[in-house]
Amino acid sequence: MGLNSGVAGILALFFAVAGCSREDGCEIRTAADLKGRHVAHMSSDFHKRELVALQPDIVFDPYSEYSFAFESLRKGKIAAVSIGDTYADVWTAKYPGEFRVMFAYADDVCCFLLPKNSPLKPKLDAELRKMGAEGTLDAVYHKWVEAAKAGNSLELPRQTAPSGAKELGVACAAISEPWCMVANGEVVGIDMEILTLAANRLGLRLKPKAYSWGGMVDCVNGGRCDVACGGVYTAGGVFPTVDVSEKYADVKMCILVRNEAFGGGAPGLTAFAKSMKASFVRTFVTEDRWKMLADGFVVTLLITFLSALLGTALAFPVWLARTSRVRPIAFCAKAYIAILQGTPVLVLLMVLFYVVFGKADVDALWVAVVGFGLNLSAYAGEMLRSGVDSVPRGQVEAALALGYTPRLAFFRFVLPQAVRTVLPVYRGELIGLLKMTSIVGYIAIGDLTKASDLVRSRTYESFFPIITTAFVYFAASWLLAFAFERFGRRLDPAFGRGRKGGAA
Amino acid sequence: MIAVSHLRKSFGGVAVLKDVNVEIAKGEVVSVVGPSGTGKSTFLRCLNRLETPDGGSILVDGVDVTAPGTDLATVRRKMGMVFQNFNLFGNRDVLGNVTAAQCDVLGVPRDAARRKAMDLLERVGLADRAEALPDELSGGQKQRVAIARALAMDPEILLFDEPTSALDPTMVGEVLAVIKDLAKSRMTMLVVTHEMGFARDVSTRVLYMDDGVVYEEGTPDEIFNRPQKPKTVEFVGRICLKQARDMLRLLREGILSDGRVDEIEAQMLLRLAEPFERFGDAKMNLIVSALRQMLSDGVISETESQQISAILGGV
Repeated sequence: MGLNSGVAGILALFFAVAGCSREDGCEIRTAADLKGRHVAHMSSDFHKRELVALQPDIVFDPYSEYSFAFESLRKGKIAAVSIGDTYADVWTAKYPGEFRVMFAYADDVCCFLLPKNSPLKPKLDAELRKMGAEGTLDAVYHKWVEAAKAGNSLELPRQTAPSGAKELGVACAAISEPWCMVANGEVVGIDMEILTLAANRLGLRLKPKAYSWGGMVDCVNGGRCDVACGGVYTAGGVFPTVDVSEKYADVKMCILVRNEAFGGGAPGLTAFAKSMKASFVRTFVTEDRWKMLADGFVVTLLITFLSALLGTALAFPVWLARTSRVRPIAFCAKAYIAILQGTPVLVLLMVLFYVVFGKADVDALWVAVVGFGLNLSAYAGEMLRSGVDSVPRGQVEAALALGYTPRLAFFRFVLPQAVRTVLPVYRGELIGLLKMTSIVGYIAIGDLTKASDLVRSRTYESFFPIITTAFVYFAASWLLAFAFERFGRRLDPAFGRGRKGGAA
Repeated sequence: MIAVSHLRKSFGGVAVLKDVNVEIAKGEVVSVVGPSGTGKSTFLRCLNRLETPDGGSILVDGVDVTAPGTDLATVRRKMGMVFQNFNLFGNRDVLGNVTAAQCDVLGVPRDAARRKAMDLLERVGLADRAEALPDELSGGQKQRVAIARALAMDPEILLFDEPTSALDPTMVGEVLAVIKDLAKSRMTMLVVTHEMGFARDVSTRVLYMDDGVVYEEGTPDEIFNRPQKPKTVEFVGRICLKQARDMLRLLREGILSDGRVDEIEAQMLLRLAEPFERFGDAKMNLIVSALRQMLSDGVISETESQQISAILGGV
C-alpha cells in the first residue's frame, strides 16, 4: 500500500518509458473482450468478483493510487481500468479524446468511516439524510466534479463554529480528486465540503489531516480520528472494525479504456516539448505546488535532523547498557537492539502512532522523530560498541598509568578513535535514515514523498514529481556525505599538520 | 621507597602471585627475570594498581596503596610505566602523546608542556619526529616515545614491562641504550626483562621470580655467576647454554667456513665452550672433550677436525 507506492510508481514509470508490452485497447467492446487482458483496479475496491462474473480470465493489476493506474493506462501498460464513474468523468474531461468509458458493471455508494460505536455516527447520519433531502449533496457533488473537469479547485465554505469549539478530527485519503485532495495547501473536495457543512450544523470545528489510503484506514481503525473519508466506496464491503455512515453519493463502477483513435496531436519534438512544459507547469506552478514540495523537503530534513540527534544521543546509553556488567541490563539492551534492528521502521512508527501515543494528542512529526531516533539508536549503539572495541585496551591502561581517570581516558583517547573508525558506517546510516523518512506519509506527515504523492494525485502524472523527488533525495544525501567527509578529515590526527609544520 | 609484603593475586583460581616480598630503595635499578608465566608482569601491574591484589600490602613512601579508598591517580602519577606493546595514543602525534598527561592530569600550561616534551624527545633522540603519528614510527621509536611520555610526569620510579620483547632484534639496542642512560642518571627503575645481558650489565639488583614468589635475589654477579638455588641454576644455565650455542653458531658460520678446524680455531672454541661445561649439557660436553683431545697431542688430524665440525653443525 503506502509503503509500496513509491516502488510501484518507479516501476510504472520504468515500464511507461520503456514502452514494453503495450496493451491494445481498441477492440475492447464488452466484458468478453477483456479475456486475458491486464485490468487495473484499486487494491481497496470490492468489485473484482462482479467483474470476474462477467469475464473470469481477467489479469488484475492492483494499484495503490489512482495516478499510477491512470499513467499505466495512458502509456499502454494495461488495457483497462476498473474505476468509479466520478473519476472516469473527470479523466475523460481533463484529457479530451484520450479515454472511453466502455461499460458500467456495478453500483456502489460513497460513505464516511467512523470508529466503532462512535457517538458521532447518529448525528452525522441525521445531517447527511437532511442534506440529501434538501438536494445539498447532489449540488455539492456536481459543483466539485465540474470544477475538477475544468482543472480548477474551489474554496470550502467557511467554518462557523468558534475556534474554541470541540474539534472533529478527519483522516483524509487526500489523493482522490474530486472527493478529497490537497489544493493550495488545504484539504478540499466533495467530502470536505459535506463534512464542513455537517460540522457547522453540529457546532464542531473541522480538523483534517492528509493520509495515504492505508494510513487513513489504520487511523480510523485505531480510533485516532473522529471520521475518515476520501471517496470511500463501501457497498459490498465488510467492515468488522469500523462503522459506515449514511451514503452521500451514488457511484457506478465502470471500465475505462484508451481511445485508440486518439492520435494525441501532431507527433514530433515541438509537441513533446510543449507537453513536457505543460506537465511541468501542472506539477510545479499550478496552485504553487512547488511550495508543497519545498515544505515537504523541509519536513524531511527536519525529521532526519531531529531523529539523527535523538538517535545519536541515545546511542550512548544503549552502548553503556549493552556493555554493562549487570547481566539483566545487558540482556535488556540486547533485546532492545535485536527488536529494533529486526522490525521494519514502518511497523515501529505504526505501533508508536496508533498504540503507544494512540490516545495522546502528540504531533505525528514527534512520533516520527521518536520512531526513527529509537531505530537509529540501536544501530548507532552497536556501532559505538564496535568502534570502542577496536581501540586497543592498552591505550586505556597507558592513560590510567599516567594518572587519567577512566572517564577522562575514554573521552580523550578512546572515543575520538572509535568515532573515527565508525564514521563511514555512521554516515551510511544517516543517509539511509534520510531516505527511510519517506515512509512518514503513512502517519499523515507532509514530507517530500508525501507532497509528491499529493501532487501526483492532482496531475495524474508521475514523471516530474518522481524525478524531482529522486533528485532532491540524491542531492541531500550527497551533501550529507560531503559534510561528513569534511568532518572526518578534521578527526584525522594528521589534519592540519602542514600548517603546524610551517610554524615550527 | 617501595615495600611489598605477602602480595597475592590469582586469576580464575590460578594463583599467579603467591607470596611476593620485595623492598626497593631510591636509585636502585632492579631487573625482574624468570621463566614466562611466573607472575613478573602481574607483579609490576599490581604496583601501580592496574591489577588489584588479592592480599598483602604495597607501601609506597609509607602509604599502603592497596588500602580501600586510595587515590589511584595520585599513586600512579608517582610511577611511570612503559609497556611491552608501547600503547601510544593513536589519535595524538608524538608531541601530543608526551604533552597530553602533563596538561590533562597535572594541569601544566600547554607551552610549558611542549617545551618539556621537546626536551625529553631530544633526550630519547626523537625531537625531529615530534609531529609524526604513532603509526608512522618503528617499534623502537614508539618505545622511546613511550619512555619520554612516562618521564614527562616526573615519576619517582619507572616500571618497564618487557620493554623490548615486542621489538625487532635490530631495534632492541636503541631502546636499551635509552634505559641505560636513565640508569646512569640514578633513576629508580624496575625492569621486567628477558634481556639477560641488559640485566647483568645495568641492574644493581636482580630478582629471580618463579612459581609466584621471588625465588632468589642478589646482585647480577650473584644471580648469573653463582646462583644458589636449583631452579635459578637451571634457569641461568638454560640461558647461558642458549647464548653459548648462538655464539658457536656464529663462529661456525664465520671462521670455520672452510669446513675444518685448525689449532687457533680450536683454542678459541674451547675458551668459549669451557665455562658452560658445568651445566651438564651433553653436546657442549662433547665439544669440550673433543677440543681438549685435539689440542692435547698437538696434531689435528683431518678426521678429528671433521668430527668437531659435525658436532658443531648439530649445535
